[in-house]
Parts: sequence; C-alpha cells; structure tokens
Amino acid sequence: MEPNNIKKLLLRSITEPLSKDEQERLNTALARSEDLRTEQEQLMLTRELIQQAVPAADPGFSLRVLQRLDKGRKEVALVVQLFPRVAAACVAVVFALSLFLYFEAGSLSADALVGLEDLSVEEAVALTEY
Amino acid sequence: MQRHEQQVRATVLGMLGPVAEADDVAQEVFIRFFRSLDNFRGDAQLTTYLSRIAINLSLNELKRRQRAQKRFLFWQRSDISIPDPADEHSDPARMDDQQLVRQALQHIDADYRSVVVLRLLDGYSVKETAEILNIPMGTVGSRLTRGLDKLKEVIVRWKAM
Repeated sequence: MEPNNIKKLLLRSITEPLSKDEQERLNTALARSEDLRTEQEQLMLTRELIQQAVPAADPGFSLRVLQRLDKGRKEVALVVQLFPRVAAACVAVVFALSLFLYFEAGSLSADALVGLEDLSVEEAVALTEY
Repeated sequence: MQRHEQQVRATVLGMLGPVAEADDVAQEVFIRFFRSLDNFRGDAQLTTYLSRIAINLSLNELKRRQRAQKRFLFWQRSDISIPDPADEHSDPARMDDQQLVRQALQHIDADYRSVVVLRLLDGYSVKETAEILNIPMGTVGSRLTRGLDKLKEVIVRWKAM
C-alpha cells in the first residue's frame, strides 16, 4: 500500500473507527514502520491534549452576561422613554424657527428660507460676477 | 446558562486563543441567544444552536482582527506587522498543555480549526459538526484529519523546543 494512503488511514484511525480490513492493513504497516508508530503516538497525544483543553469554570461569567443584558435593556428603555420628548423638542424648535422667520421676513417661501427674498436680479448677477 | 457556559467558552477559546476578546465573544453568544429566543424553534438542540452562534461570532472576530491588521499596515506603510493578540505570551516553553493547544490551534487555518474544535474539543459527532458548520460530512472528515495533522506538527515542534 502507498505511504500516502497509509498516512490517510492513520489519520482517520485517530478520529473514527476503521473497518476490520482497514484496521488490519494499518496494523501491518505499523508493525513494519517505526516512524509510523511514532507518528501514531504523536497524533494520539495531540488528540488527547485537545480533548483536555476545556477551560476551568469561571464563577463570574454568568453574572457578567446578566449585567451586560441588564445594561442593554436599560439603554433601550432610556431611548424608548426619551424618544417622545426628543421628538416633541424637535417639533417645537422647527415651529419656533418658522415663527421667527415669518415675523422677520413676512413669508415662509423658499426665498425667505434662504434669505434671498429682497434680492433683485441685478444684485444676483453682480454676486455671480464677484 | 451555567450548563452550557463551559462548552461555549471552550469553543470560543479554541477559535480565538487565550485573548481578552474571547470572554467578550463568549458573553455575546448568550446575549445573542437571549435576544433571539423568539426565533429559537427548538428543532435544533440548544447546545448545537449555541455552538453555531459561538462559531459565527468567533469567525466574525477573526475577520475583524484581520481587517484591523490590514488597516494598521496601510497606515504604517511598513512591513512591520502588529502582534497578533493570540501570539501574546507565546513562548511555548512556558506554556502548560492547555495554553499550548489553544496557541497551536491559532496556527492552523480557521476552517480546519472550527472542525477540530467542534469534533475533538466539544465532542460533537461528524453529523452535528456538519450541521453546525453547514458543510458536507465528507468535508468534516477531510478537514479534521488535515487539521489534526497540522496541529500535531506544531505541537511536536514546540514540545521539542
């Protein structure tokens, strides 16, 4: 059997059960090659190390998650609570500006909004030439 | 939460390595879960569902890390790379076995890493791993063997130091 196929078989044997025939072929190859046996040992050690790499219990973890959830809820509640007030304040500001503009310019036209209601054609031309 | 906490933390630590962001990401897994409780239909097992969130958030974090590294290189206009957070304290001689494995996992491709973490660390079956990662079962097998082989090379090299 080709060394490449034996290597694949060896790798598979570490993570899943092989068929009887495959296991026999692998055992024969292992009996013949010391390098292969060393590689098998290294792979088994690697698998063992991974399986043992479970973190230790962290007693404060749940509390930190709950605190973050609580903080998020409070932020959402604050936005929901403040939204009507902020919206009302914006409407009031727009209304006050409109009133001011109306009393200052006597109109709420587009020209009045940009401050051009008293500008004559000649003045506008002069401005473009300036 | 306490029942699943350790597995979620193991998944995230395996994917991201022993870095400060790993704890934030693990917390975020449960926060996302609680926020999407209405969408959890119960047809998937809770552990599988949490692992899927953990893997997705970890992959997002890895992408964010890569983008930050690219931005840094762009602004620095030099060949100096910023240290990968996973490489901090990365003297293999000083590591215990757990640290060694987590650090070694950072040296294999994220696609292989996710399979190795789910199959060997979390103990999921090939079918469950395929479902969580949304890949065919054959791909799980090939990524697992390649990942394990690469991981072995890294660990053997470090152990010999």
